[in-house]
Amino acid sequence: MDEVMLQSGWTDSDAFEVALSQAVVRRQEDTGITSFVVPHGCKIMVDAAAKLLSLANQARDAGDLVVLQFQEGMGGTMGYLSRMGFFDLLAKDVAVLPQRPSHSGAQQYRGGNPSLVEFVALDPRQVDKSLPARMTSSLENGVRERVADATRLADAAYTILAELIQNVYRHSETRLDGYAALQTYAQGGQVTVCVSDSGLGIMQTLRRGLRECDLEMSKRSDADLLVEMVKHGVSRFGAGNGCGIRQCARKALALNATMEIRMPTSGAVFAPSPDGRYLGLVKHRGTLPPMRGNHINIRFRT
Amino acid sequence: MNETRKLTVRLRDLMPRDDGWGTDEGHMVYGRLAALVKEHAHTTVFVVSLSGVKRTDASFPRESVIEVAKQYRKRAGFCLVDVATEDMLDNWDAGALKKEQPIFVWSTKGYRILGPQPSAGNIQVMDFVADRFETRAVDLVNSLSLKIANASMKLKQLLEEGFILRREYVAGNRGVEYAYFPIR
Repeated sequence: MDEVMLQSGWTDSDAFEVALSQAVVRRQEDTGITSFVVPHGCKIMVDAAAKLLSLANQARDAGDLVVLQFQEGMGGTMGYLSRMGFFDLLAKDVAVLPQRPSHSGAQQYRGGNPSLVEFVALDPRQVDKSLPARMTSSLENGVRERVADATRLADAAYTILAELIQNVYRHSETRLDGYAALQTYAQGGQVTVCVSDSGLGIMQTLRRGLRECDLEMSKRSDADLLVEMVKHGVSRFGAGNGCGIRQCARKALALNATMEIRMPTSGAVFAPSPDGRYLGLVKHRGTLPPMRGNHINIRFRT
Repeated sequence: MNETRKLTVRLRDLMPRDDGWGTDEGHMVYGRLAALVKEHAHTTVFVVSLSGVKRTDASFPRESVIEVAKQYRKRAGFCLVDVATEDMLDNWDAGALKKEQPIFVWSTKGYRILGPQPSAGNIQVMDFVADRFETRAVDLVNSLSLKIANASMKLKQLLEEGFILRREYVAGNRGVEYAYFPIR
């Protein structure tokens, strides 16, 4: 049994990874049961929620019995997740304890809170062309009163959302939905944008294409390829493509943001250099617990 | 190509929304723009106005306007006007770099080149041509003290790389000569 035990307190993407790693260390045998325990006082942030949603659905899709235990019930972080539309997108046969919310907070209040954009499913068979613009508009409305140049911030966020969501549609190669969400943390002065998918992962799809058009590049390490994507742009479709991650990085730099790219078994964090001239690789971990797809989180201060 | 004909195209009229998103949408607008260009086969310069375009990512312009500009290089030129934000300029620049196709942006402050830039040795000639209605190699000899062969070579390089256009004219008994002009 995999039992992922989150901790009390604010649980962001990093804290989620710690819990995941500890679950792998504790695993004694593969019983086909995956359990996520959310204790009292645990406040799941949107980037952790995106990973939790993806992982729970992946485990279920792989045939595991999956259980989410919210020890605080709807009075705790479960209420927030309901509001974010988490349970609307959670596979119907994933068990939720004490019980699934009786109604969806997202469906009731969708669009009503300028500080958040509820989880949206990204299904290549039903592309919502207005999605990046709608999410951007929500963000702009949410920060307008606190940020001097909300439009400039929204312009940068639009590119990030547009490029990342497009990547899910074009590259993920999976029948499972991807997800996008956005949360403004007013007290912390932070906005987090998340785009996740459960596909093959950047490196696998990229290397496969690079073997056809740039064999030398295809042999580079994951870290080197990521840096190349961020600095110059690389695409499996050849030299004339590959703007997406690079432009996200440029906008992240303009927003003084960090960018986390989590892949199936590795992950990297990019942050602005001290002189603000480029987005540099500050952390790369080559052996993370398996989680299908790409999970990209961009956090910037307002 | 014996005379300069210009057409202003409002890109927003070819787009489904006021934001331009992604490769697929770029391809769609490419098709519409290419059809328009074909319909106006004798037009030399297409001035693409971004009035009404609120935002684009980098993929959309790369696959639409910049791709058309690349396909028609040396035959017709495409430039931009009414670009609302620096953010949009950055995205179009990224697309132009990927396609290796320069594209001019004109405003009341002058011009800016998105994408590849003229080489250091050709910048002066580029500025010279941009400031004038048309330029002949002999103009560079007189004004920039270049040798005629060097002047011709630099102009031809800028033409080949997509920075300028040219028309030919009959120069008396000297035969066919060329007048180069900016994409404006």
